[in-house]
Amino acid sequence: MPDALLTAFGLVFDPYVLAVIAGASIFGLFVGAIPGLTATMATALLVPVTFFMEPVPAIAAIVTATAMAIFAGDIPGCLVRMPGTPASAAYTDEAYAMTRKGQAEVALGAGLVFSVLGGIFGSVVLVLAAPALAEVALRFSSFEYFWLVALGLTCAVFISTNDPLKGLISLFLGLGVSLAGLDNPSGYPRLTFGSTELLGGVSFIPAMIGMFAVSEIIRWASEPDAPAFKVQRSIGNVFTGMWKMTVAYRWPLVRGSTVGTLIGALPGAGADIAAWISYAMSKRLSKTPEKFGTGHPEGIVESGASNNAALSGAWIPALVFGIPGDSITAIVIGVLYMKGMNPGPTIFMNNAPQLYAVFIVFFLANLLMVPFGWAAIKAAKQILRMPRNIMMPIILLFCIVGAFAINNTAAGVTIMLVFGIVAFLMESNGFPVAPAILGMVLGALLEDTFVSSMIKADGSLLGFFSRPISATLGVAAILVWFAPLLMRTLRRWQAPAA
Amino acid sequence: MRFHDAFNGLVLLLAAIALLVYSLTLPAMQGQQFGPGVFPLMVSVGLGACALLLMARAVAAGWSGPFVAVDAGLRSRRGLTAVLAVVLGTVAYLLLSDFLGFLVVAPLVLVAIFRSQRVGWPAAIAVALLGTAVIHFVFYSMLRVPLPWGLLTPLAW
Repeated sequence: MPDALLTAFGLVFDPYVLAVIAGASIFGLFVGAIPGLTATMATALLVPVTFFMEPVPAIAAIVTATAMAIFAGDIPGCLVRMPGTPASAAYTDEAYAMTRKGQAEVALGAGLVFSVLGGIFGSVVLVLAAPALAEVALRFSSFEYFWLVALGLTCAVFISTNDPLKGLISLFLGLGVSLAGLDNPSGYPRLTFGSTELLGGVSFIPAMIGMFAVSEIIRWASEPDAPAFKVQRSIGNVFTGMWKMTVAYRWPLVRGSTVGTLIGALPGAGADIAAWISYAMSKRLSKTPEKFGTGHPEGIVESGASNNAALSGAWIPALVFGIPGDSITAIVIGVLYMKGMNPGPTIFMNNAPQLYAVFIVFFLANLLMVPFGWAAIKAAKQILRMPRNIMMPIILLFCIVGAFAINNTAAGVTIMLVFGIVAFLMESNGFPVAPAILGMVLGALLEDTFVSSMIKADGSLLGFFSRPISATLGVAAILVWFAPLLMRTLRRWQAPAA
Repeated sequence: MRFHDAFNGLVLLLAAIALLVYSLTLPAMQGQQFGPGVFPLMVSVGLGACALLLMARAVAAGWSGPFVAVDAGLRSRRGLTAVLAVVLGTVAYLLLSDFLGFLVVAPLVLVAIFRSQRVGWPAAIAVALLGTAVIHFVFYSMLRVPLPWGLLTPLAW
């Protein structure tokens, strides 16, 4: 372990890796600060470039860029009332109300400082929890894995959406996509439509570029009258009074970081949902709930810490089980496989130095957020003036080349376009995209574990409940499936009595 | 573009039926109790059931709402042109890049999209050429992605 840790430090503090981290920071801040570009999109755009790097700089670039992007989303929210990423939407009105009261510095400072603290909290939990969970996971058989995947997919449907039926449909569509290709327990080519390109399944990274970047570009094009952003005044010192605020709001900070990490770790729910839940919780538990909405920093502290903590939390199930905690780690899992760092409990044995290096990057990225974030706030005026009708077409060309670069085939570009259009149509019809992505990522694992469990149990479904852990997970999954039905029955049963 | 959920459900139901029929045609593998069709069958049944529920829900809600609602942006000529420029620009790239080469097609696609966004001609042409050059340099020269040269093959470096 000390040897591996030493190697890990050597892997991170290498001029090339540090340069990649610096570049990714600037990229992440830029993408996060521009409304319409999200942290997930930053990840999808980075992958074609990191494709050509060693594992550590490749993962480091993604960790850094996403952390920076989630913070930077606060900047336009505060200055022009337009969240830079969906993760800042929960407290955009609050931050803007502070700006109108002449407290833009305080709102931006709180966004920055508590993003850093939340991110570090989440990273500590990741470093402590992941190895411990891996110890347990080593004893898992296909039965436990099947239920774990089922539970993860269930969470994605029920947590990330307000319409579970449409979430479920989205999940089945994702599972349907995962069917294509040779990669199934029988090794039989399915749904390839006679194309050799599809023998290896639907190429994942081009599909992600389509769903997260191209769909966003189509949406931008379909809204021709998007407002121009004008920042009224320059920003003073954002760090004034932050220590006092940390002391005053220590409990909201701890609560936001904890809730954020947990929500992040739940499959399918990421930083945006973490921020909404934390903001609501902050208001409910505050001593002065009446101040919320009038430009009060308490909610910003709690949910700002929460969304950055969620980013780190999402890596826990991703690294230990190969089950993504949010859409960013869904892409990351694809990258890990490409880099030979296969996620799963054995990652701690097979790739220990690389893994520790990734952990170090988590802390480094969050600490670097202080100077880089400060600079981004100073440059906010210029960043927000960047004309989107120049930027978006360039991003499209970048997507096209990036989708091509993964396999050097035009099929990648076709997949990108098709998934971009489908994701745009799905979102405009109220079908959430996150469950589909989880279905695509986890479909093969779900089928593998199901089929091998069925073979082991000789076709008996009771086999899925024959081991203590798998029985517990199974009961939990089934309870969640029937929870809505149960609640409705309970409510109906109580109604006449009331 | 928002379609009525009864229609969405119908499309999904047809997809589910197609998948169901397809999964039944998959052969049983010798010596395997669970062939390649088992899991697709489960997915198709799940999708089909959800599609039926969605249709039932939409019908129970009383057919209210239009069959298809087009967003204001897409109804305007400018919005429609902009979306078509993005989609057809990508299709044009797919069809033409092998023949004409990246350095020819990319600027043309960019200019078309810039113009659909009412960027003036001089700016559109300048940024298109510059953007193409930068992306070509990053991916072709630095990352060694074999972007197609097409007609320009004699000039390739």
